[in-house]
Amino acid sequence: MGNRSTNYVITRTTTIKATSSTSNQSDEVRFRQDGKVDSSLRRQLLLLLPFSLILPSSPAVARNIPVSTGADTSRVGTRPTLLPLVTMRKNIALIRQTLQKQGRNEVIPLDDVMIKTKTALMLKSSKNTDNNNDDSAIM
Amino acid sequence: MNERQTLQFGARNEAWISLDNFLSELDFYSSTTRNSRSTSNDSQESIDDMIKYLTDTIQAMDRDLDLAPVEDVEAVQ
Repeated sequence: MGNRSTNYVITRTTTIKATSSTSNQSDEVRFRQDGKVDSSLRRQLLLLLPFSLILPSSPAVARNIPVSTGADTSRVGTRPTLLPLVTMRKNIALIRQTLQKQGRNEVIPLDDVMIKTKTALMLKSSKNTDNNNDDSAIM
Repeated sequence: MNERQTLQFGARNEAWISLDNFLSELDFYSSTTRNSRSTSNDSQESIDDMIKYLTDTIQAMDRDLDLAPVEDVEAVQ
Protein backbone atom coordinates (compact mmCIF):
# COMPACT_ATOMS: atom_id res chain seq x y z
CA MET A 1 0.00 0.00 0.00
CA GLY A 2 3.12 2.12 0.40
CA ASN A 3 3.84 4.43 -2.48
CA ARG A 4 1.00 3.66 -4.79
CA SER A 5 -0.24 7.00 -6.00
CA THR A 6 -3.92 7.49 -6.36
CA ASN A 7 -5.33 10.39 -8.33
CA TYR A 8 -8.81 11.53 -7.53
CA VAL A 9 -10.41 13.09 -10.55
CA ILE A 10 -13.48 15.15 -10.97
CA THR A 11 -14.93 16.15 -14.27
CA ARG A 12 -16.19 19.64 -14.78
CA THR A 13 -19.81 20.15 -15.58
CA THR A 14 -20.89 21.35 -18.97
CA THR A 15 -21.61 24.80 -17.54
CA ILE A 16 -18.12 25.18 -16.21
CA LYS A 17 -16.62 23.95 -19.45
CA ALA A 18 -18.55 26.56 -21.33
CA THR A 19 -17.17 29.34 -19.18
CA SER A 20 -13.62 28.11 -19.18
CA SER A 21 -12.74 28.91 -22.73
CA THR A 22 -9.79 31.06 -21.66
CA SER A 23 -8.34 28.31 -19.58
CA ASN A 24 -5.69 26.10 -21.05
CA GLN A 25 -6.19 23.49 -18.38
CA SER A 26 -7.47 20.07 -19.28
CA ASP A 27 -11.07 19.18 -18.58
CA GLU A 28 -10.10 17.32 -15.49
CA VAL A 29 -8.97 18.78 -12.22
CA ARG A 30 -6.50 16.59 -10.43
CA PHE A 31 -6.67 16.23 -6.70
CA ARG A 32 -3.59 15.69 -4.67
CA GLN A 33 -3.01 12.29 -3.14
CA ASP A 34 -4.46 13.43 0.17
CA GLY A 35 -7.74 14.17 -1.55
CA LYS A 36 -7.38 17.96 -1.55
CA VAL A 37 -7.30 20.19 -4.57
CA ASP A 38 -4.30 22.43 -5.12
CA SER A 39 -4.99 25.97 -3.96
CA SER A 40 -4.42 27.39 -7.44
CA LEU A 41 -6.87 24.94 -8.94
CA ARG A 42 -9.35 25.61 -6.17
CA ARG A 43 -9.11 29.33 -6.91
CA GLN A 44 -9.61 28.63 -10.58
CA LEU A 45 -12.65 26.49 -9.87
CA LEU A 46 -14.14 29.17 -7.65
CA LEU A 47 -13.68 31.75 -10.37
CA LEU A 48 -15.48 29.54 -12.82
CA LEU A 49 -18.45 28.93 -10.54
CA PRO A 50 -21.41 31.22 -11.05
CA PHE A 51 -21.96 33.43 -8.03
CA SER A 52 -25.41 31.97 -7.53
CA LEU A 53 -23.79 28.68 -6.57
CA ILE A 54 -21.50 30.32 -4.04
CA LEU A 55 -24.05 32.76 -2.59
CA PRO A 56 -27.42 31.07 -2.40
CA SER A 57 -30.31 33.37 -3.23
CA SER A 58 -32.15 32.98 0.05
CA PRO A 59 -34.94 35.31 1.08
CA ALA A 60 -33.70 38.57 2.54
CA VAL A 61 -33.25 38.42 6.29
CA ALA A 62 -31.62 41.75 7.08
CA ARG A 63 -33.51 44.75 8.36
CA ASN A 64 -32.48 48.37 8.65
CA ILE A 65 -34.34 49.03 11.88
CA PRO A 66 -34.18 47.11 15.15
CA VAL A 67 -36.86 44.66 16.24
CA SER A 68 -37.81 46.96 19.12
CA THR A 69 -39.18 49.45 16.60
CA GLY A 70 -41.45 46.90 15.03
CA ALA A 71 -39.23 45.33 12.40
CA ASP A 72 -40.61 41.88 11.71
CA THR A 73 -38.64 39.55 9.47
CA SER A 74 -41.04 36.67 9.97
CA ARG A 75 -43.19 37.90 7.11
CA VAL A 76 -40.40 38.71 4.67
CA GLY A 77 -41.34 37.75 1.15
CA THR A 78 -45.04 37.38 1.88
CA ARG A 79 -47.84 39.23 0.15
CA PRO A 80 -49.25 40.97 3.25
CA THR A 81 -46.01 42.93 3.55
CA LEU A 82 -46.73 44.53 0.19
CA LEU A 83 -50.19 45.70 1.18
CA PRO A 84 -49.15 48.84 3.13
CA LEU A 85 -46.84 49.90 0.31
CA VAL A 86 -49.47 49.46 -2.38
CA THR A 87 -52.11 51.24 -0.28
CA MET A 88 -49.79 54.11 0.50
CA ARG A 89 -48.75 54.43 -3.11
CA LYS A 90 -52.36 54.68 -4.24
CA ASN A 91 -53.20 57.23 -1.56
CA ILE A 92 -50.20 59.37 -2.45
CA ALA A 93 -51.24 59.25 -6.09
CA LEU A 94 -54.66 60.56 -5.00
CA ILE A 95 -53.08 63.43 -3.07
CA ARG A 96 -51.06 64.35 -6.12
CA GLN A 97 -54.13 64.20 -8.29
CA THR A 98 -55.99 66.48 -5.88
CA LEU A 99 -53.13 68.95 -5.91
CA GLN A 100 -52.88 68.91 -9.67
CA LYS A 101 -56.59 69.53 -10.11
CA GLN A 102 -57.17 72.02 -7.35
CA GLY A 103 -53.77 73.65 -7.38
CA ARG A 104 -54.86 75.61 -10.41
CA ASN A 105 -57.01 77.63 -8.08
CA GLU A 106 -55.21 80.33 -6.24
CA VAL A 107 -55.64 78.66 -2.88
CA ILE A 108 -56.11 74.94 -2.60
CA PRO A 109 -58.53 73.58 -0.03
CA LEU A 110 -55.96 72.49 2.50
CA ASP A 111 -58.35 70.43 4.55
CA ASP A 112 -58.88 68.06 1.65
CA VAL A 113 -55.16 67.58 1.12
CA MET A 114 -54.53 67.28 4.85
CA ILE A 115 -57.19 64.60 5.27
CA LYS A 116 -55.83 62.62 2.35
CA THR A 117 -52.29 62.97 3.63
CA LYS A 118 -53.27 61.71 7.06
CA THR A 119 -55.16 58.85 5.46
CA ALA A 120 -52.13 57.95 3.37
CA LEU A 121 -49.86 57.92 6.40
CA MET A 122 -52.29 55.80 8.38
CA LEU A 123 -52.19 53.35 5.48
CA LYS A 124 -55.96 53.32 5.16
CA SER A 125 -57.54 53.08 1.78
CA SER A 126 -58.82 56.48 0.75
CA LYS A 127 -61.64 57.12 -1.67
CA ASN A 128 -61.22 59.73 -4.30
CA THR A 129 -64.51 61.53 -4.38
CA ASP A 130 -63.50 63.69 -7.31
CA ASN A 131 -62.32 61.25 -9.88
CA ASN A 132 -61.44 57.62 -9.71
CA ASN A 133 -59.37 57.63 -12.86
CA ASP A 134 -55.86 57.71 -11.59
CA ASP A 135 -53.66 57.61 -14.65
CA SER A 136 -50.59 56.97 -12.61
CA ALA A 137 -51.97 54.09 -10.58
CA ILE A 138 -49.86 51.00 -10.52
CA MET A 139 -50.47 48.85 -13.53
CA MET B 1 -27.49 40.98 2.35
CA ASN B 2 -28.67 40.29 -1.14
CA GLU B 3 -28.70 42.85 -3.90
CA ARG B 4 -32.46 43.05 -4.27
CA GLN B 5 -32.93 43.87 -0.62
CA THR B 6 -30.29 46.60 -0.85
CA LEU B 7 -32.12 48.14 -3.79
CA GLN B 8 -35.43 47.91 -1.92
CA PHE B 9 -33.95 49.62 1.12
CA GLY B 10 -32.63 52.36 -1.15
CA ALA B 11 -35.97 52.84 -2.88
CA ARG B 12 -37.85 52.99 0.41
CA ASN B 13 -35.40 55.48 1.83
CA GLU B 14 -35.80 57.67 -1.25
CA ALA B 15 -39.57 57.40 -0.97
CA TRP B 16 -39.45 58.44 2.65
CA ILE B 17 -37.13 61.40 1.94
CA SER B 18 -39.44 62.65 -0.82
CA LEU B 19 -42.52 62.21 1.35
CA ASP B 20 -40.80 64.06 4.16
CA ASN B 21 -40.02 66.89 1.74
CA PHE B 22 -43.68 66.97 0.74
CA LEU B 23 -44.84 67.12 4.36
CA SER B 24 -42.43 69.97 5.07
CA GLU B 25 -43.65 71.87 2.02
CA LEU B 26 -47.27 71.25 2.97
CA ASP B 27 -46.56 72.54 6.45
CA PHE B 28 -44.88 75.64 5.01
CA TYR B 29 -47.74 76.20 2.58
CA SER B 30 -50.42 75.87 5.22
CA SER B 31 -48.64 78.25 7.59
CA THR B 32 -48.09 80.91 4.93
CA THR B 33 -51.58 80.74 3.44
CA ARG B 34 -53.27 80.83 6.83
CA ASN B 35 -51.29 83.90 7.75
CA SER B 36 -51.91 85.39 4.30
CA ARG B 37 -48.24 86.08 3.92
CA SER B 38 -47.82 84.44 0.56
CA THR B 39 -48.31 85.84 -2.88
CA SER B 40 -50.02 83.98 -5.66
CA ASN B 41 -46.62 83.24 -7.14
CA ASP B 42 -45.33 81.75 -3.92
CA SER B 43 -48.42 79.60 -3.58
CA GLN B 44 -48.10 78.23 -7.07
CA GLU B 45 -44.41 77.55 -6.57
CA SER B 46 -45.18 75.74 -3.35
CA ILE B 47 -47.88 73.65 -5.00
CA ASP B 48 -45.51 72.76 -7.84
CA ASP B 49 -42.91 71.68 -5.31
CA MET B 50 -45.44 69.52 -3.51
CA ILE B 51 -46.45 67.83 -6.76
CA LYS B 52 -42.80 67.24 -7.60
CA TYR B 53 -42.10 65.67 -4.19
CA LEU B 54 -45.16 63.44 -4.50
CA THR B 55 -44.06 62.39 -7.98
CA ASP B 56 -40.62 61.53 -6.62
CA THR B 57 -42.25 59.52 -3.83
CA ILE B 58 -44.42 57.59 -6.26
CA GLN B 59 -41.47 56.87 -8.55
CA ALA B 60 -39.39 55.58 -5.64
CA MET B 61 -42.26 53.37 -4.46
CA ASP B 62 -42.67 52.04 -7.98
CA ARG B 63 -38.97 51.15 -8.03
CA ASP B 64 -39.48 49.27 -4.79
CA LEU B 65 -42.57 47.45 -6.03
CA ASP B 66 -40.88 46.61 -9.33
CA LEU B 67 -38.45 44.49 -7.35
CA ALA B 68 -41.24 42.38 -5.88
CA PRO B 69 -42.65 39.45 -7.86
CA VAL B 70 -45.19 40.79 -10.36
CA GLU B 71 -47.83 38.21 -9.44
CA ASP B 72 -47.60 39.19 -5.76
CA VAL B 73 -48.03 42.90 -6.50
CA GLU B 74 -50.97 42.16 -8.76
CA ALA B 75 -52.56 39.96 -6.15
CA VAL B 76 -52.25 42.66 -3.49
CA GLN B 77 -53.76 45.26 -5.77
